[in-house]
Amino acid sequence: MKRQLTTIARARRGSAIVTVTVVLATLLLLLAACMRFLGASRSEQVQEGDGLLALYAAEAGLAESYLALENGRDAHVGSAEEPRTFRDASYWVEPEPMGARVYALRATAHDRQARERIELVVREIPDGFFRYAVFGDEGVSFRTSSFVDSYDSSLGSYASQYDNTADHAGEHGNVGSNADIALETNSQIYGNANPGPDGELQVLGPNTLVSGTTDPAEELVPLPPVVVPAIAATGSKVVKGKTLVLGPGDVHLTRLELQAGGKVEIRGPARVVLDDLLMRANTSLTMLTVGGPVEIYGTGNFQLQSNSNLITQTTRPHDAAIYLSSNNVDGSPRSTVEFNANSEYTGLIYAPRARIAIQTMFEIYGSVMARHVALGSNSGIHYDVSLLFDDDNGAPVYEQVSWRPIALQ
Amino acid sequence: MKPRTRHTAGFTLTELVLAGAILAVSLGALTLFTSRSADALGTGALQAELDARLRRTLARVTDELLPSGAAVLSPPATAPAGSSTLTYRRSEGAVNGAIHWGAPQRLAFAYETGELDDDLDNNRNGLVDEGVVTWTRDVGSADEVSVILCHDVAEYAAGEVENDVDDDGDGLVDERGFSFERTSSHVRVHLTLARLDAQRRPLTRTLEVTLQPRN
Repeated sequence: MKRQLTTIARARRGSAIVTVTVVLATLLLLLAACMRFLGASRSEQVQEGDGLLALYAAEAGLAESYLALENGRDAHVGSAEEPRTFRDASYWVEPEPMGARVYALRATAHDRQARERIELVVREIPDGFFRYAVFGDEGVSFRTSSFVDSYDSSLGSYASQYDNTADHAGEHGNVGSNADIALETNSQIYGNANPGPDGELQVLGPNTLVSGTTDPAEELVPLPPVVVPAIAATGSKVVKGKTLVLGPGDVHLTRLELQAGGKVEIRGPARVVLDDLLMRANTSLTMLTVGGPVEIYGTGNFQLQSNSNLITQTTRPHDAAIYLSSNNVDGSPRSTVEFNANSEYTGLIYAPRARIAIQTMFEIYGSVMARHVALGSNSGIHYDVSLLFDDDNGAPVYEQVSWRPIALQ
Repeated sequence: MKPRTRHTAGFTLTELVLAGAILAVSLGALTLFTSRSADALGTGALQAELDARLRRTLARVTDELLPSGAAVLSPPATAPAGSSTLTYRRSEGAVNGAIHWGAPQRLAFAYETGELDDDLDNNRNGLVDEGVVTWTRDVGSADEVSVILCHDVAEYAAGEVENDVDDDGDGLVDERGFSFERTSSHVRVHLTLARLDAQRRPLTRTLEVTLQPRN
């Protein structure tokens, strides 16, 4: 009997241990499951947070790079070898030119285990005044086989951008008017041809070409008057068989006449006001822009007769400009304006009160804006796209083209 | 004289009954505690799972929409109608200084397989007219492919019922469990998930994100 009681007591003691063990094991399992859930959830949230911080770091790098670009500084921010750091995050930005005035800024950022890489493409916002190859307030006329295309002087010469297969260079040679645009046989415009809001594109012969849009403009383009600099006149000059040097600096002549063999050399930077210019055959006018830009202001007659030569020594049309306040339509007295020289003129012509006829031998690399423009047969204008951007008008301003995440390297 | 060993050799019946009763009460309490803990843990785990899926789905939606732009989003999805579908395109970089858009893609609410818009639990999973979030790439092309990003999407947003009234006061009328609202520059994305817990009680979780497409 005593032995039986002892056995029962031992069995009870064992069952208590088993019960406690089972209870503890159950509690431990519950605790482990709970910890695992919490741990997994926490780990996922930490990973998400790190990814977000890496994205923010990359965005910060892009902002820094963008600011540097707008201030004309190097747009690199750090490097893979020496990244910028902010707390646990590190980042760097590599800019890459994607053509003229377009940049891809690629930012890479790390935050602990997370990595992000994003790309921002930006382009410079056009702010130049000369946005057309040809613009005529009261109309533009293209005679037979006249031609307009474009190039970008910041990328090289026109010849280097000419496509022999296509027989033209770029297709940004836009033509505009506040009235009509008339095209005669075989005239070609590699760009848009946009007449005024109430104007129309008149096709007057076969085989004309406009590579871009021909929609009328939504609003008129104002042509402000030329502001002639106030410079004291120093009389008149007749140059024959010799060379007259003008500039650097400001010059005002009431009359300049070049007779056979006469040459004029204008050395920049210079502003030359001519109240009456007459260039006869076998004469030349050279605009030397090595030292700075040359601006010629014509206030009355402005005649470049046949077999005269207008010479520019620059590849940038920004450097040479002819501004005419002359009025050959309804002025009193009515001026005579004539561009009949043998020239490859790299520069600008602006004449808001004059009708201008560009003759066959007068080839322009730049832009012409006038009251009316008539392009003679076989004449050519090659618009410089860099004129869209006024480099002299302060720091460039960029706009976003594209933002996207890109693959990690 | 009574032998003393009789008193110390075992337990009286009263002691045994008392001990048994205490043990039974203790085990009952433990069982109840364990059961409730497991129930709470199950509900908590389900909540955590739904929350994680909400976060993951909206993170994916955000990733999809950030490289898009207001000009390539449709439909307008403005309040009070909003929309349960959004077609968009993503930037694939720039070509000749202009943005290059990829093929159209679409995010949308769709009914779960076997479920119809009929106020019935057609697939007998305890939820009525529940749906999914689908992502379709190359919309309209021969390569069009649809993928389900998330199951258990409530037919209507939490607090909203089909009655042409803005029940939840968020500016949208009868919006789906997955819905979009657009302003001129931002997109608000709403997602409500619903599931039954172990006790077959409905559990609803909601998350919203507002983002600005970057292009």
